[in-house]
Amino acid sequence: MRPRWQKVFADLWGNKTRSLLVIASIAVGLYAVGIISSINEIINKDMEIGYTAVNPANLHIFIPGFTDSLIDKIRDLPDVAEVEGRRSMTLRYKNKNGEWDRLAIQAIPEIDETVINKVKLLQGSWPPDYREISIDISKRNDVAANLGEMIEIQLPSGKTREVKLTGIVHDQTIGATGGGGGYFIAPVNGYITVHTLDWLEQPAIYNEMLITSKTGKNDEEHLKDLSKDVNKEIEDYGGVVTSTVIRTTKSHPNSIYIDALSGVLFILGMLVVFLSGFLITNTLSALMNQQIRQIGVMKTIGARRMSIITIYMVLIALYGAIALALAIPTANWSAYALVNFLSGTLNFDVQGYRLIARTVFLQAGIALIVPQVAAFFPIYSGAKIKTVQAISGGSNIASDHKDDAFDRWINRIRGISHPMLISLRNTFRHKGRLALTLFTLTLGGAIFIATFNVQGALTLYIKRVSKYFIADVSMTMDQFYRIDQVQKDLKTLPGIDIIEGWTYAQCEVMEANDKPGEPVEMLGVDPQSRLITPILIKGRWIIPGDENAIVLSERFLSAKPDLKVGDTLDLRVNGVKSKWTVVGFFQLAGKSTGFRAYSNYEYLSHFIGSPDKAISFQISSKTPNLNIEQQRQFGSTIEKYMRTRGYKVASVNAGLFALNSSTEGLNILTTFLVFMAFLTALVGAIGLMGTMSMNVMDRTREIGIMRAIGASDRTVMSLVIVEGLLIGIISWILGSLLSFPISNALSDILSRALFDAPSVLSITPTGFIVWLVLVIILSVSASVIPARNAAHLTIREVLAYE
Amino acid sequence: MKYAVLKNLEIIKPKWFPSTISDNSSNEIHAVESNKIDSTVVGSIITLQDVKKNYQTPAGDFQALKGITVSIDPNEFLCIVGKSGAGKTTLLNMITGVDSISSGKVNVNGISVHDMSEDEQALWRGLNLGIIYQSFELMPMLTLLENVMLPMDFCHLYTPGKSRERARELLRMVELEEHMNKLPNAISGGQQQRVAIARALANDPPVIVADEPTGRLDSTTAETILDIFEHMVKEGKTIIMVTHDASAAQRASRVLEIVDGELKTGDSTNISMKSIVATA
Repeated sequence: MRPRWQKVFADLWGNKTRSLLVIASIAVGLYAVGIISSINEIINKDMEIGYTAVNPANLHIFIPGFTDSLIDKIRDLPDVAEVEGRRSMTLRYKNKNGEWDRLAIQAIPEIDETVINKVKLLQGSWPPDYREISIDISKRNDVAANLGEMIEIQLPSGKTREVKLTGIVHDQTIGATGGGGGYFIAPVNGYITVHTLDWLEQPAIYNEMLITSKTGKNDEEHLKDLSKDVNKEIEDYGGVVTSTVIRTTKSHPNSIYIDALSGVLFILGMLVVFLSGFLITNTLSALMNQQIRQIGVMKTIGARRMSIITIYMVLIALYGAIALALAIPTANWSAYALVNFLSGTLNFDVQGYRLIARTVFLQAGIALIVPQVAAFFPIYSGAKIKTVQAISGGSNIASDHKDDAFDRWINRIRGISHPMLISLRNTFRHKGRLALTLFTLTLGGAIFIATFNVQGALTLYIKRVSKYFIADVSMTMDQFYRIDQVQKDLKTLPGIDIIEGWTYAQCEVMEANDKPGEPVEMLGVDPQSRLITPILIKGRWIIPGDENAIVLSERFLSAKPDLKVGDTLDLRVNGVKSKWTVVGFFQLAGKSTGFRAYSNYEYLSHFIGSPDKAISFQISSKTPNLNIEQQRQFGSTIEKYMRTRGYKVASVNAGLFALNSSTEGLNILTTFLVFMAFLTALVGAIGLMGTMSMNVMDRTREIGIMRAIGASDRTVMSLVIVEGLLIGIISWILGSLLSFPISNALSDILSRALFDAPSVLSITPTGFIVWLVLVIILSVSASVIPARNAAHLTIREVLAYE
Repeated sequence: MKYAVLKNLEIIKPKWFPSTISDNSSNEIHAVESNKIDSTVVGSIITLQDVKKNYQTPAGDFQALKGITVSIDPNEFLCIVGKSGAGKTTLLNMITGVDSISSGKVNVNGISVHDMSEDEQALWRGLNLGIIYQSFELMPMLTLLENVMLPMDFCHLYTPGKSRERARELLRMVELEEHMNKLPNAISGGQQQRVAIARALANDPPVIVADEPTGRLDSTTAETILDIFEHMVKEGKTIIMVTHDASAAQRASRVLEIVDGELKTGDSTNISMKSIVATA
């Protein structure tokens, strides 16, 4: 091999610490870019591919009762691809805690030949046979029964029946109808054959029709037209549609979380690409600085500029290639680990482990182009440097040196110790390099702090959501009871503080064709309730004396973007068409939590004909801050007591359980953001370590000279530590300032994706404090290690150091 | 060496480039006779005419060379002496083209050094000058053999095989062949300087320029280096050496003393050894 290439390999292999630092700096940037790009690609594609593969229904039409003859009629419509009828019901089952809990069951005819909303068998067998049931994996842990064991189910008549658990399946369509709380609030989902309906005392007729469209499966307008045709056909046949849900084939029920993640990932990805670019530029500038003397020597023995540029470009390409080889598999593996976590919690199927071509190209592009671009300027400057200057190690010759005002100010500083003065002057000696170092660390710090701010803001938001669930126990009854009677009975139990009766009505939004559309959960609450504090986006909350006033959830804003405060909304409430005035919009846990509305209890209870009565009771304990277990026990005591008093209790839920279910999606985002914060911290940390180490390595000779003239190891160490700290703290201050606009951009993206509302910037101190501690630890350790190495070299070795 | 490379060389070939190289279409390239000092050449191989060098410093302009005019003959062993800061190294840098000139002319073998671009100067230096430094300046990551091969690699004078063979010959000449696969830090300072000499001779240049070549060496090792220099002069090389070492200066065929950027007037061939010792 020619000596110039020997030099390339010797440079690579000969100074392993330096090579490791350069490779690590490039690799960590590529890793971060790779992981962000891969996650973005996998979650978006896999969620869509996986969801499309189950052939989700484009129309869910709820009809009180129908048979196969109606299905045959609908199937004849020109744009209908497939139609299936199902019977869905919510019964109660005994959960692992021995409590009665909700169980949503779908009875499916010809269950082994179903083509819409297909489920995937994970364990056991499919289809379930007579008196058998399969359940969805998502809430499987709430069910005590193992495969082959019995699940106890309570029927509406009060009887109990047992069905055998024979399969665990994955159903990606849970939450698709969105009338309740969406996926996270959904109960355990079970699947039976229609033959088991009689065992559960259910009529063998359907109440839900699933339809897919032949064309325009992802065109909402087209699906609306199809819905009109189908509704008309059903009414012509004599059927009554209670509600219709339209959903495109691509829109997974939890896609808003993916949209939110994608938005955050896009911004973070862009910033990390910049960060990596600066990190690489910084590291390579330091590397080139160490090579100046050798460049000078090469020039004296015949090397032309191009030869020198080629040597270093090849070296940089090798660094890039090694970093790429390390980053591709690690980033891909990490991305899949994170995607597997997300897929489990956001209910989608990962389409198998694979290398993401776009990510690999992006990483390869960055690995092979960014270092070359980043290094070109330092290499070109190095190759262009005057031979006499290069031979002297790149030190400024007299003609090049100009003191600016800042230098003069630094030089005038008095009254601090000499080592401190040296550190201060050293820090600002190479301003170009200092600027590059500071820029890299500032950007890294700013992203880290911003990510923490957004995570903190989400956590704070979740705390605010808890104000919807202030009651320790939410008790739902099978029928309406007089509120004063319930209050009187419950007050005899010790420890009860507040009891509020809320009323409930099943509504549907009336569409333009005067047909019922999406189902809405409407709650009637006391405007002065102490058990709910809403988060308002627009308008106001209900006030005493309100009549047909209604406050709507964020889902309405995305589904009906033209709807404003003051508009009139046509609803069908318990089957009665009526007009309601929109007085405000509230935020709950995102657009996927379904259509919800709050109205004045007084008005709604009269409207539905149950004045002074309620179906839901919110109860709080005198003991503050109960945990979920204590709330469960409290609820269990209340339930037992109410049953002994002859009340028909449908379900009792702990307040924190409802909160946890509602905010599970947000919690996933916060976990993800913490991961992203630490990923940024990793990039920043390695960048900081690399930069500081290279800075100190660069001064090995100077350290040797200081030791030769009497500086102790301790003095040398304190010099570099103070310099490292100075750079670290300056970058922290700048990073803290830069974190504000980045936090704002990230929160805004999340807020728009989740709630269709602009965010209010929320700043939490955690990110600032954690980054400050990290910066201090990293700057000190990154400076001490090379300084210790330098201090341990003999004077002869130091002076011969290259 | 591939023909394509030779063609490239031909395209960028400066006027002083050995004429036979561009015509050689075979895979072998040989050092050409025209590149060596021609013993029949009459007159000076190096001439400096009124060479001035100014630096700007925060304290104002500093004139390092104040109009040096000197001629150096082929086969001469010239020694430049003077106090620290007198301008000795600056003068060498003017001859080698390592530093820019403020005014005046430097001609080496008929080539005006400072009229070339920096790239042309680099290749010209590689072919025509061998430079030796006080601190050896070997590439620390390359073996001794690779260090000696490096100038041949940059100047494309020899094929890789021929380069290796020639580098071994040169290391044998300086009695370091058995260490050829060692790294520079594995040998002594004197040995490193012998490697630097071997490297300076790699492309068989007519002129060797040495800046304090014995400055870091003990007297015995320094004597060995000077023996090599004398041998090189006998072989037809021209040597220009800056030194503080009186015994080194005594070996020279001519000594020039430089004082505050000017050549000391008088018979420079018989400069007083006292003044040399005084500068040491």
